Order: sequence, then C-alpha cells, then structure tokens
Amino acid sequence: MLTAKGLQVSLGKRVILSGLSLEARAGEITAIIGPNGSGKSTLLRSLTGDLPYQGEARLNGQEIRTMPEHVLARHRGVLPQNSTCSFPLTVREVVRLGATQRSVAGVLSERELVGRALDAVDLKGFEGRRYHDLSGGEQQRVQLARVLCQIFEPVVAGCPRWLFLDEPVSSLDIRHQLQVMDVARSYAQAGGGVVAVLHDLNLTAMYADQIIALKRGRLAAAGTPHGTLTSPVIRDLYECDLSVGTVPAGHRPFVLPHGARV
Amino acid sequence: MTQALESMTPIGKSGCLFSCRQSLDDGDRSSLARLVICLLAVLLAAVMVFSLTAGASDVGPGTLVSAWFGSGGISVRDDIILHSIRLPRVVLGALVGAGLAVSGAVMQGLFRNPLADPGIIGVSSGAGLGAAGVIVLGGALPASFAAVAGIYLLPLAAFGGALAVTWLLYRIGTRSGQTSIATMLLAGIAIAALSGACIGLLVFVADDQQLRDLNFWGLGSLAGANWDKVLSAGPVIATVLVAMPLLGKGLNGLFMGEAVAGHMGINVQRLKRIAVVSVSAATGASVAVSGGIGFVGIVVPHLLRLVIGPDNRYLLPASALLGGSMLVLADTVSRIIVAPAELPIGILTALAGAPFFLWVLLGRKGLNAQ
Repeated sequence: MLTAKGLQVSLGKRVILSGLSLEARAGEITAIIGPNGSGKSTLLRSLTGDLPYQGEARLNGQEIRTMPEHVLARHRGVLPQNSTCSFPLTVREVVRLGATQRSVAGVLSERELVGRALDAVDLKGFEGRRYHDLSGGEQQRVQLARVLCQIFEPVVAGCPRWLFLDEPVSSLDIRHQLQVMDVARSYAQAGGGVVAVLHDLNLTAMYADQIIALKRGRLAAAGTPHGTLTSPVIRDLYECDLSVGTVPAGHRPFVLPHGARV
Repeated sequence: MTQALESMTPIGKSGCLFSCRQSLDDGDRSSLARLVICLLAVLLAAVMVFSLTAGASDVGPGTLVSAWFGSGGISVRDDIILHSIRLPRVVLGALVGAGLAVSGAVMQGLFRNPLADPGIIGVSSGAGLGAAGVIVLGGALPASFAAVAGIYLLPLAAFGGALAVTWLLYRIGTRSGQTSIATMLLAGIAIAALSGACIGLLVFVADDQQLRDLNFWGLGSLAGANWDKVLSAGPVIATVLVAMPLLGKGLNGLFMGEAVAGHMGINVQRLKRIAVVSVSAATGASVAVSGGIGFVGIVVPHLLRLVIGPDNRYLLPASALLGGSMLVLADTVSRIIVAPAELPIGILTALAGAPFFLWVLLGRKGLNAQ
C-alpha cells in the first residue's frame, strides 16, 4: 500500500503540491494525470524518495523520507522518462546494473536474471548489442529491464514491490507504448504496485485501474477511469474542448479533442 | 511484512577467475577484463624489473641477478644505484602512474565524461599552488607545527589545494544534480589561471633556492625520487587505490546519472565525497613528488575502455596497473634516451598525451555527444 496524507512539496519558497491525500494499491496500475506544470512529476518524485516533503507518505507502511536509499531500492524501482548513458555499454552491462538485490528465493544467478528481465520486455537475445546503437524504443525497454532486475519479484514474503514510471512512453511510437504498458500491467497482475505519470489519456483509459488527476498542485479528481475520465472533469482539468465517449458503448472511455478553447 | 525485504543480501560475485568463458557476443566482458588485469599485473612487474636494470650507469640485469639471487653480493656503488636510486624511483613511478590513472578514471566516472582529468580541469594546478605555497612560505610556519607535519607537509598541502579546487569545480559545475562538463571545463580554466597567478606571486617573492625547487613543477619529473618521498607520498597516493573497491560499483551506478544511481540504492553523496577526497589526495601527493605529469589519467582509462569496456569494477584496477606500467616505462625512456642527461618525463607524457586527447575529441563529434 502506498498512502499520502496532507502531502506538501515546496521548491524554494514556491509550493508545488499542497494538501494532497491519496492511496494506491498493489495489484493495480495507478495513473497520475494532469496538465503540464500541475505537479505530476513532483508528486512521483516525492513518492520515490527523491524530493523532501511535508506531511505523511508511506510505502508499505514505512514513512518514505526515513527510508535510506538501499532500503528504498528493495521496495521500489523507478523508470525515468529518458536515460542517457555516458559510456558505451552493452545491453547486458546496462541491465545487470539493476541486479543489486538477491531475490528471496535466491535461485536466480545474475545471468539468468538479466535474461529473464530482457525476456519480459521482449528483447530476448539483445544482451550483446551496444546500447547506443539501439532505437529509442529499444533503449527505453532496456532501461525497463534494468528496473525489473532490481525488483524482479512483484511480491516478496507477502510484501508488494512498487514500479514507478515517469512518463515512460512519451517518446515512443504506439506499439512500443503498448509493449511497455503491457509489462507494467503484468507486474501489477502479479501482485506488484505500479504508479505511472501518463500524458496520453487514451493510454490511461486502457491501462489504469485508478486515476489521480492533479491541477495546480492540488487533487482535482481521483477514482476509476469510468468515474474520472468524463467530459466535465477532463474539460475542466485541461481547459480545452473535448468529448469523452466509450468503446464499445458504455465500456472503456476514450477522449477526442476538439480544440484548445473550452 | 517488510522485514523479509530488509533482510535480503546483495548478489555476490558469481563464479571465480575465468570460470565463465562466455563469448563476447552475449555482451559480457567480465572474464576478458579479469584476464586483462592478470596480464597487466605481469606487465607491471616486468616493466619495473626492466627499469631497475636500465640507465646511464653500467648496472644491468647481471648485477640485479647477483644482488637478489647471488651469494657473493655486489659492490657498495652498485647497491646504492640499485636500491637507493633506481628502486625508490621505480616504486614512486608505479605509485604516481597508478594514482594518476585511477584518479582520471574516477573523475571520468564522477563527471560522466571520458575527457575529465585532474590535470585538465585544474585540480593539478590547485595541488601545485598548495605545494608552491609550502616551499615558499613554509619557513614562516611555527617550527613546532613544521616538526610535527615533517615530510608530510608538502603532500598534505598539495592535497589541500587539490581538494579545494575539486570541491569548487563540483559546486560550480553542478546544478540540481546535473553536472555540466562545459561549465566545469571553463571553471577549471579560470581556476587554473588563478592558481597560476598565485604561483607567479610566490615566484616573485621566492629566493634562489626556492626558485630552483619551484621550477621543477613546470616540467614534471621523477628525478628527485628517494625513499623519503615514497614513504611520505606513497600512503597518500594509495588512498585512491584503497578506495577502488568502494568506488567501482557506485561509479557504475552513475552511468545513467545521479538520480538513477540513487534509485538503485547507491548513496550518491557518500560516493561523491569518497571520490573527491581520494582523487584529491592522490593527485595532490603525485603533484607534490613529481610535478605536472599530464595525460596519464586520460590516455590509460580510455585505452582500457576500448578493450574491457567501461565497467568500473574492472576499469579501476586495470587503470592502476597500466598507469603504473606506462609511467615507469616512460621514466625509463626519459632516463636512457638522452643519457647521461635526463628528459623530464612530463615532456614525454605531454608529447604523447596531447595528440591522443585531440584524437579522442575528434572522434566524439563535440563535448556533449552521448
């Protein structure tokens, strides 16, 4: 369980997030949406332990700011929006950077772990390729494999682990977007928790179990896609003209924009 | 329920030396790296022995064999040449070379740029200023303090200068966790100019003996090597060698930036502190005993990365071995190429290193190319 109560984050004197309370459950994908500058990434970064915050935020029952890096690393992995690698590594060398924790089962060698993680992101046999020669979509999936290596088992002794994704698909084409989100869904279905900052509302409708909508650093709406992705809520959230339909009728919502004015 | 997660242990080293011989096609260069490290250890030993037997005097391999393995012993003159002149010089050369090469590799890992080097970003000039300050102004120190600090005063002052410059560069070059190589290089130029001006002031007030001592920094040389220098600078240079096991894994984490390293459980602030302090110590002490020997810290790690890859767990020890070998070899060449005179070794390393630096630069299509 990931919970926050009265969360406030300030950068310098500027208050970015205030009075935020939320709850994310393991076994689900929780999407954070909202317009640019609404505090999505700030929220994610405070929940991953990267930013100091006031109020309360607990990951698996522990106050996040009190958890040192090596303890946090056992509870959660983080996939950044994009990663640049400063030296010419092979794919295996990138992925095995994440292999810092021994699984409780303790049966997988580093080599097997790297193989399985690459398998999970559909890059089997890419171990020997140079990271810099890969396409953007492949690089992002290699990074996802690295994060999976770190938290390979979604549940350890009844305790879920968490996958945090910061706009994980914003530079990917649609097929690679689906591939990455499929991995996230499998992780959640296996009992892990997934929290993702997403821009694409239709992708959100497709994959999210719960939605947290932010506007100007405050909670604008929260709930299931059905309850949250509605015309009035989304129109007000993004301040643009759009309509929300469902496919098939009454089922999954989709968002069709009309123009920048309400 | 979280105890189980807490009790998990890190993955240990899998397999022993050469046990996993996978082909390079699967992206694993670790067994190759282990092999290269073993070969480099042999190379360093061979170069050191060769350097002991080469020089302006006629003390050659035969003398070495009878000194170490013979029963009759050797003349006092030969013993002095071998054990009081050449041996400390070879040991000091290996230490300085190892220290400079590892310092370069650590800097490159820390700044995430293969062109970072203590000499280029001005750390060495800070060390030079510290050393020059002690030479010229050391007489003004309280006698009791000078007595306590003794032979460690010079390396410690150089260490202080190097530490101050490294810290300053890092503060100037880093904004919100991102280190800008361009800012850092430009700041390094400014700081090097400032250090140079301060050294100039010291030269202005120095007396003749101090001037002679100061002049020695400009070129870089191991000519003054003796056991005192090995004992005073050796332990300080060795800090970066001792820190290698602490740094390797952490610097690997920095491949993808400081945020990612933190996410993987690395204490980045602690890593930076260890890296900055140990590099400053090694660079400072190297400069104190041998002056400005440049480019070892760039050439050695770069060559090794081409062969064994950037994995710092292997790159750092391999750099130490190759750096030591290259400097001892360069020193040997500088001793015999114009015998009985000596070419300052700094001239040799700059003659070879500067074109190499330009070659790396041309191959990178600009400083910020990734």
